[in-house]
Amino acid sequence: MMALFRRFETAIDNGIGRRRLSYLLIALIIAFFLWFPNDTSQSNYAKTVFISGFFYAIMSSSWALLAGIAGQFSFGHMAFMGIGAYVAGLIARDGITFALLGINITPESISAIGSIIIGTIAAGAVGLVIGWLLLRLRAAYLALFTIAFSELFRIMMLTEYDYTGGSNGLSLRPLLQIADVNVARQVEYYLMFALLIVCLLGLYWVANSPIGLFLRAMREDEDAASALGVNVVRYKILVFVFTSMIVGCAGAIFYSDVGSERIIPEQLEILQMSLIIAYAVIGGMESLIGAAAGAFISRYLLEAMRQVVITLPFGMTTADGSDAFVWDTGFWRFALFGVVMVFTLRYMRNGLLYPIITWFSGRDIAMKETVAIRESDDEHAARLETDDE
Amino acid sequence: MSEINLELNKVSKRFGGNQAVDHVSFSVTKPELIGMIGPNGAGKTTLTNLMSGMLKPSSGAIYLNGRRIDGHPAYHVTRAGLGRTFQITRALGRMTVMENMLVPGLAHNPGARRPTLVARAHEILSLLTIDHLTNELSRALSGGQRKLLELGRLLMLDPSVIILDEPFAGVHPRLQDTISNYIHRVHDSGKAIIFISHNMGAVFELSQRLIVLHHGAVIADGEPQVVKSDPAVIDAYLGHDEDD
Amino acid sequence: MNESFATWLLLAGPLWAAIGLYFLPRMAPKRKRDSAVSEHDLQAAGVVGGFALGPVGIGLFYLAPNLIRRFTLAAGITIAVFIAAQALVRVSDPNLPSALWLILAGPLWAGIASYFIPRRYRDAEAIDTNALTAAALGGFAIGPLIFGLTWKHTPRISREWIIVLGSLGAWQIYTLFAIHNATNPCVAAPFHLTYLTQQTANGVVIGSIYSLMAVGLTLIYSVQGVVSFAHGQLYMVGGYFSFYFLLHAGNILSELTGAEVSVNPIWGIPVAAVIVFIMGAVFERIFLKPMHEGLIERVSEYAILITFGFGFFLEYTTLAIAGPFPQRTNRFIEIRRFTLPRTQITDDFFFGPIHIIGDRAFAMVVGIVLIFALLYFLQRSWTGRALRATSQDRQAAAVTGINPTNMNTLSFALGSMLAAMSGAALIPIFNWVPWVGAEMVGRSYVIVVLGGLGSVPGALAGGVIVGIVEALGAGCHPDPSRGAAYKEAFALVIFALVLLLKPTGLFGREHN
Repeated sequence: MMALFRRFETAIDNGIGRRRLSYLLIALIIAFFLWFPNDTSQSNYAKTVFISGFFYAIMSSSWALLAGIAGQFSFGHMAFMGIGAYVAGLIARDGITFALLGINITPESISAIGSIIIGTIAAGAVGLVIGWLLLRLRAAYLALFTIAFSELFRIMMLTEYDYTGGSNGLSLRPLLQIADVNVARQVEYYLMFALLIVCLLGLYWVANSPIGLFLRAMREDEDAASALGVNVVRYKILVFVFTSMIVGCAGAIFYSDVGSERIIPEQLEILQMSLIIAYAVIGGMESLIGAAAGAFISRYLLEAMRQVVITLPFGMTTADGSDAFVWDTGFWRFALFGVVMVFTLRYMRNGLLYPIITWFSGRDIAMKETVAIRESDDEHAARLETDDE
Repeated sequence: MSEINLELNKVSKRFGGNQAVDHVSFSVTKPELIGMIGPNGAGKTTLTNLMSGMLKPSSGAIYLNGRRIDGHPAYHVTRAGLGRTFQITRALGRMTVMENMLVPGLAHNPGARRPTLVARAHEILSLLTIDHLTNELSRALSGGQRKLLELGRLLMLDPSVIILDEPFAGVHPRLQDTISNYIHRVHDSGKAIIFISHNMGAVFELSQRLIVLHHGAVIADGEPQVVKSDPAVIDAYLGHDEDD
Repeated sequence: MNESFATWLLLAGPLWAAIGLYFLPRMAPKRKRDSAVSEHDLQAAGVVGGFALGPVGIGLFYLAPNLIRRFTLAAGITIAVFIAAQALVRVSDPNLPSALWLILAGPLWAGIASYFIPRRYRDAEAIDTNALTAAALGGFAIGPLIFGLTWKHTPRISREWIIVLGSLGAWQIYTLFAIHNATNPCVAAPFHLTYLTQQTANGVVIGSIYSLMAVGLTLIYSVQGVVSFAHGQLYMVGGYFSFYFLLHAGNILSELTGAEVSVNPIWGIPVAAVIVFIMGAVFERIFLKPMHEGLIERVSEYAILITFGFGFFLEYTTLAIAGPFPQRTNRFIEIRRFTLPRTQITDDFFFGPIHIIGDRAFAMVVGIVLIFALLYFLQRSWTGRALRATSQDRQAAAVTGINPTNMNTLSFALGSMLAAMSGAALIPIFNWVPWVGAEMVGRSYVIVVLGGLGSVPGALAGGVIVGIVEALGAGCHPDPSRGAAYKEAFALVIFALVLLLKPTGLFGREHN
């Protein structure tokens, strides 16, 4: 088996090369997602699963930028998403008046897109404040503070039912008004997929720009980064604002009757947040595409595992005479998911998709090469001696 | 050649009841090689932290090239032209050597094109004999190599004053030569260097000026040969050295 | 004066402050200024001058930057605050006398004081450990007077200061509340003392169980330096272990004796304790031990995620087994409630009668007994002392023959056990669902952070404080149904404030 893989590997390396193969694969994946809703055999339900998969992929990959690349362990990601959705919903329903600035937005004057933009800005503004407050806190303290923040927000949304609808949730203004359910689902699907692609491009752009380099330097050692001239205050706040705006926007769009018709406070629970974290961990926290793929695949598998049907071989039958063993997994699939997460953390810190991603990027070759040139101080000195001669 | 003017004016730092740095004043106005010595706990590292903005002085002022820098955040000080290394090396572990070099390069010079910076980084790395490790994660480097990397990162910043905290500690003698070589070259390019070391041999060999700290205060400041024979220094410093 | 003018007043200050903040540091360096005036001073001057006097203030500091220091700054602040408070009065409530508003503008004073007082301490080379906390609390409680107390001399701020200022602030909130909501049972005479004492008593009772759980968290932290994010779920499974044990034991005994037998829930506590102790030990050995052996990179991140993942697993496994239905065991004792008789002081001034629900009282006793047992164990037994030694100094402990690896395991197992015991002690009182842990764990974080991470006395005090705050907050909220819903929120607000103002908490170790 391994030998076969090695031969395949050499063939690829000598042939089109791994990079090009990975581009090909990405193109194929995108083509698949573009084709998928046109497959008439697929139900609307499958499309809905995909839509929510895209949504969670956005959540997880932006969390990966925040936690994996910038090292800010925030548990408030869902809350920022909620801020985007709630603000968009409240603006579209009640409007807003800033007497001071002479701004008066009435529900009639604002479109769904306008409300989404305002929701996004609101999430970014709260991200700014929270990012500033968090400057002094590190690691576990930061995690605790963001838990407190997100719980406070959830409780407020639950309790102020006069405004937010309480546990019944809040309906946002529908973004699309298409009468035909099938067409509507199709448009929603493409919209969410496009949003995912845009978000991923944005996240990649940040991660590969100097900002991404500075964020990683901060994650490694804040003091050292600062001594090297990195404005840690600015970039820490910036990453909070940026990711908050992404999830705020995604939340506002998703709940504008695209993926779900209303936002409910239950969505803001820590348990929901823990799902985002679990997806990112399983896919690979330090890789944006890994986290996104982890979220999508996990989401899909969790749906697919709702009912596990094992067809018994050799004509065997179960006690009640059927030839298949049916198991309604219920919450067991999440429990299993928890086990996977814990073991991934312990034994595959970089996520289950890490070997695949490194293989395609060719980084494993580079790693093997660099391991070969590692040396101790003594070896280094000895080499310099021989060079001198 | 860039302007050099570092001035400390009665800088003090107190931790609770402990006076770590006590009214230190000195100035650096030309490209000098300054050794800073003192027994353990004399306040050398605290003074470095004060100068580089990692700590805020309790009183006093520090000026760099006419700008007041005390109490400013570390990145501000770095951009103003004062670079430092750490006693215990702080390489950015899960980033490659090249990325370690690019962080200060891009922070100092945001508009620079990457290829230019990469070329410059290669040049510096080959001077420091670690250019073959460019794509290696810096956490895989040996202790001495990390010291070299830290020195290399400083050059990406192009500072006018460099503070080296124990550059020779725990480094193989052959690599120490590389570091001395580096110090000379950087000095020749017109930068002031303050280096803190326990290695007396290296200090007397390299430095043109010696500052001696004891209990947080400067007890001697001048040419190494003069300082060496200063009775206060012999009393306070060399007497202590027997404990080490 | 019409409303729009007042809002303009409010807006103009910040507007000029922003202009000052931007322009003053950029323009002034070109002018004469002595070297003592730093960039920060200029920014502060821009904000204060702009806010207080608008363009006049900016011009003043532009022409004479050296005025920025000391008295001018103080005068500027006073004027700025006066104007802001005046504007606030007009906008919010024209009937309140502005003098009252000046005093009541607590958050404003807190913000100003927490900006300037710590700086003052640093400039004076005084010990500034608690300066921020005292400044914020003091600014809130006694307004500008806090400057008088701390400006000329910079006294060392002790814990007593913080407690006094904190209580003063709490009292002010109470007064404000009493003015605005005069019919509330918490403040309406003559029964308010009874109602308040009743609420406080409820808080103390439930708080002692909170303490038990928080002590576990703090024990783990003090030895391992790890915040267990699985603590709430361990508490929850503790309750379920007790529940299932009682159910099955009851059934078996009923079958054996042929009569309906129910087992007292007190027996669930040791059972849950033993099972969760083992669970905790196993988890520690498999997942946390490698961390201390240096096998794992990025330790703090790993510690958060791995304990979090463990909690995630426990929660969903319990959901799968027990389902989302509320469960409850039978009572500890048959006595419904204890009543403390009325205490008459004068005709109008009396306490009581105060009722305490029997089961809650029992749970409190259980909690207190267990805490004392733990303290006895930590103080007297060799293992307990070894644990404390490890938490003080790992290396030193290892040298004296203590095995730190075993101490790690023991601390995690013991801490988890305490969580499970509080769960088992509370399942007869609360409806138990698999997500009770999530709510409860938030509370224990509040408690340990309030008391100081790693401090056992802090956890005890914090538990009771949080219990009281929740009971009073929920009991006194003008809208009872909202009050109950916001119960957790009151504690979370304290939590956020403590994290921002004094992350070491009341009893925490100070870091340099």
